[in-house]
Amino acid sequence: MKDELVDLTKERELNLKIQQLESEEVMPNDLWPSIKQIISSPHIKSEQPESNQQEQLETKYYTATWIPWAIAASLVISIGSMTFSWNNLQKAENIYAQITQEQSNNLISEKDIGDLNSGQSGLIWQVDLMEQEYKLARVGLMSRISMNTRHIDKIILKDIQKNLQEIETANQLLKKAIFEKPEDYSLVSLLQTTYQQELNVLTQLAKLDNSI
Amino acid sequence: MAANRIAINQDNDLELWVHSAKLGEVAAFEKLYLTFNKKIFLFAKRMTGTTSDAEDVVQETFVKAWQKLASFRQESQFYTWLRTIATRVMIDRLRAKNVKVWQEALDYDEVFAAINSNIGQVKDLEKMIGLLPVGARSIFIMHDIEGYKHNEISKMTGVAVGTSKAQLFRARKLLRESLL
Repeated sequence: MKDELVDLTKERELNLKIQQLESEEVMPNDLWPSIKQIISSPHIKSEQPESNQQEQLETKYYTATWIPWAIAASLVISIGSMTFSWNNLQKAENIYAQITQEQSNNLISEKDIGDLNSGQSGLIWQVDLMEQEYKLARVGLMSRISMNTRHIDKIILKDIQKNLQEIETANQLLKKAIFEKPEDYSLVSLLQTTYQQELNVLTQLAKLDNSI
Repeated sequence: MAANRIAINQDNDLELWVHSAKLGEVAAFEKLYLTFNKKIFLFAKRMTGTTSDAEDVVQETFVKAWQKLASFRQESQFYTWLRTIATRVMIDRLRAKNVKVWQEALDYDEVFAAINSNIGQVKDLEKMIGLLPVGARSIFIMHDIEGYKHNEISKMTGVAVGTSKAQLFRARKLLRESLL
């Protein structure tokens, strides 16, 4: 291809002929009626700007509808959970303060001992009451701790978890022993002490959070 | 001065028709059709080689143009944009018939003989172009008549720039020899 010499005269003649070519030709048939029919058909999807604008408007409307509701819903959930946690915390603090006070005065009175000795039902009532109070206090403290666990050292947290598990095991054994030997009041007293110990650990943990 | 004024008026009309057609006015689109259908038809007739195929191309081109009108940003001239649609329609059709239409080798002697036996005393370039093999013909029309560059042809057809240049060289050589 490169070796071939081009005759410039012929080249000019060809270029001239190309320039003289017609630029348009009348069609033998008028195609407009069929084109009009096709473009007017509802099956033909036109990318007209009006439809784009409509889509944009619809999108904006759609966005404007659900976003405020989503924000409102998440706010309600957040406020609800905050209130719940706060209430639990308040209850836990009150119960904990009460238990501490009562512990010093010996939580179970002489009358209770009498009731306890009077039968199994009294004992169950006593242990249930103690357990409910303990659980309520525990939930409150746990929620307080969980709000800021990322600040607590992982090693400390692991130690605390281990201690809590040991206390939980001791509680279960004690409850079993109490129902086997209802006459032994020292077991009830011991159970109360273990509950108290657990709450002490959790309180220390909650205080640790606050101090950070 | 008068010629310039006419050109400006025509440009203004075109702009108005395009704008109105974009808004969905079929009557404005008809004006555009009436202005450009003859150009597109001749381009298509040269490329396809037959009147009926050229008419099919014209119809498909204007339908596609209507559908894509919103994407026309008026950065280029309307005819240039319309012709691009037509070119793509024709390239798709050629490719559907023969995937390697632009890679096929051109038998110089055979084509030269065919041109000379079909062309009489009057050397009609239009007829000679029609006798070129499809691949070489389409590249010659796109480059030498419609003014596309080789890289544009390469992008649209998917062939290498070198292939496009080689096909054009052969087509021009045949036409030069036949014109004498």
